[in-house]
Amino acid sequence: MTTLSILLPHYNDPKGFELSLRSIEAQTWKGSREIVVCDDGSRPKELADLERICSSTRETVKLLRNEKNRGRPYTRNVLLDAADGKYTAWLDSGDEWYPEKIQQQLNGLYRARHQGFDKVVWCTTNYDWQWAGAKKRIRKQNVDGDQLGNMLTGSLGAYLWTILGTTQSFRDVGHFDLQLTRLQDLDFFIRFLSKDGMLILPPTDEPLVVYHKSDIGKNGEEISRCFNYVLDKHSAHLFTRSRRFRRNRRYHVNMHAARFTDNNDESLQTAMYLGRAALNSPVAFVRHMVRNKGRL
Amino acid sequence: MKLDVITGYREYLAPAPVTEAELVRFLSDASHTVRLASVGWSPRPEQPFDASFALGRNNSRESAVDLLLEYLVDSHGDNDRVAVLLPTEALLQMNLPKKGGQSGGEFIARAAELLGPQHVRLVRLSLSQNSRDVVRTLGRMAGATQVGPAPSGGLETIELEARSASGSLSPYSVMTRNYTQVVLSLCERLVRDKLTFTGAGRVEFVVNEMSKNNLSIRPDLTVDRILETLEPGGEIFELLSRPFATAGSLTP
Repeated sequence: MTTLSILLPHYNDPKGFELSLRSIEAQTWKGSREIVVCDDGSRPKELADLERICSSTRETVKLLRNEKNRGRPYTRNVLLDAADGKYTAWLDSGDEWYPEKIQQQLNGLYRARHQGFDKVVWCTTNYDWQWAGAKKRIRKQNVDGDQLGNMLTGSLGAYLWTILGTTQSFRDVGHFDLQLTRLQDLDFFIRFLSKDGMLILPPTDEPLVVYHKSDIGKNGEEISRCFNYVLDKHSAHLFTRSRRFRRNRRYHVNMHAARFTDNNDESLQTAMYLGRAALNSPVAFVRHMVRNKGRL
Repeated sequence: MKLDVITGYREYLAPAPVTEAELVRFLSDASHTVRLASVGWSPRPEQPFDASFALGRNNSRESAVDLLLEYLVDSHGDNDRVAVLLPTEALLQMNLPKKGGQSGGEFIARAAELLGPQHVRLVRLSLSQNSRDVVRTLGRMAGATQVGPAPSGGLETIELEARSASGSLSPYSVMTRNYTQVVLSLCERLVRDKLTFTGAGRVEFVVNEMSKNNLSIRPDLTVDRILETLEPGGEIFELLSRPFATAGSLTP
């Protein structure tokens, strides 16, 4: 049995895929592994490039294809169904793991077992966040206390590429929600935590992943719709929290969407989301604008 | 995965502490194919190569030995040869189950069950030729020493003088209840300080009734016995090329 399945969706980004693949090859962890790639209906040239890159590596690569573009959640479901490993880790084309990533996270999972944790755990990690053309900034994952609350406030990032867990633990959560063309991982994490799952950190505080971030070409309206869908879907969890907490989450959604539209030069849309955010939480809005000197 | 369980790095190389870098160098010199397993989730992160924590009590419902073995299998490829360290040979037979833990022997037996006995071997750290000569000389001299009541404490005492390259004399004295440890500790000190034992020093080996009893517990620990188990050549960090015990012989 393969020890680790690395699941990697791909869509029209062979260069990004190659970057991710090289970071997998550089892992210090030397157990048996397979990389499962699912191409989500890329254009012929990009698909040909992808196939060439896959055949050039010494890693074991299983390449799957959607006949047409089916979207990220569908593709992730295909990948999860195809995973053969005892453990599963995720990576998106264009992002990179640092060489110690898998080894440190495996250490984290075993440390938890040795300490007698009786919950299903996923090992997350601190990560570097790098906007295109800017310096890296480390993002620390806050796993202390109320993890669901931390996730909803953003101090605990719900990113699949930070996670290592057993394949069975991912399957137990179920499939990714096909309605969520964005933020399907946030929904997936909330469902995991709702099933009494727990996130832990590895023995190191060092970031183990770098996320190359860009909002360009991403639809702010889609982000807003998906975020609100997640909040509505998990409203039972929200209603156990204060009114202020709930209001701040809606504020957060609108600010998030405003950032996307602003980065795509959609001024009218940006103004609309900022207006909504100001209505959701005027104090937080003013504080944000003062602290960031009017920048989003 | 193939597993080497290496014992004795603390027992035989004491009192000089062995650094991680030395252990890694020693092992890579001994074999290019063996990889020292760093147990990154060890509750003693300052000693990531020391696997003896798996023999003690833990908070999990799972056996710590099973956890460690599963971790090693998960961390390495099928063709890798991996070495784990148990600091003392005594851990192989120590009756730790009474304290809620397991013995090194059970660790070996479980590993043999999981990986196949042909994939598990037990090796010990050895001493250099220089150290062997010291042991031989000490043994010869110790054979002629006075045996009688110790002045105090009930401990064996060996004293000797060693000459450095510049000609100065350095007194050494070790007190312990374990003869093997006395001799080997002295060897280590000599090697560590780059001294040559001239054989001209004074050696006293005093045994009182109490330490006689201790010695009688392990009558096999004679100088000849020590010499038999030591292999010639190499640096102080030298791996025996053949196992001194098989997994099967330690199966309870």
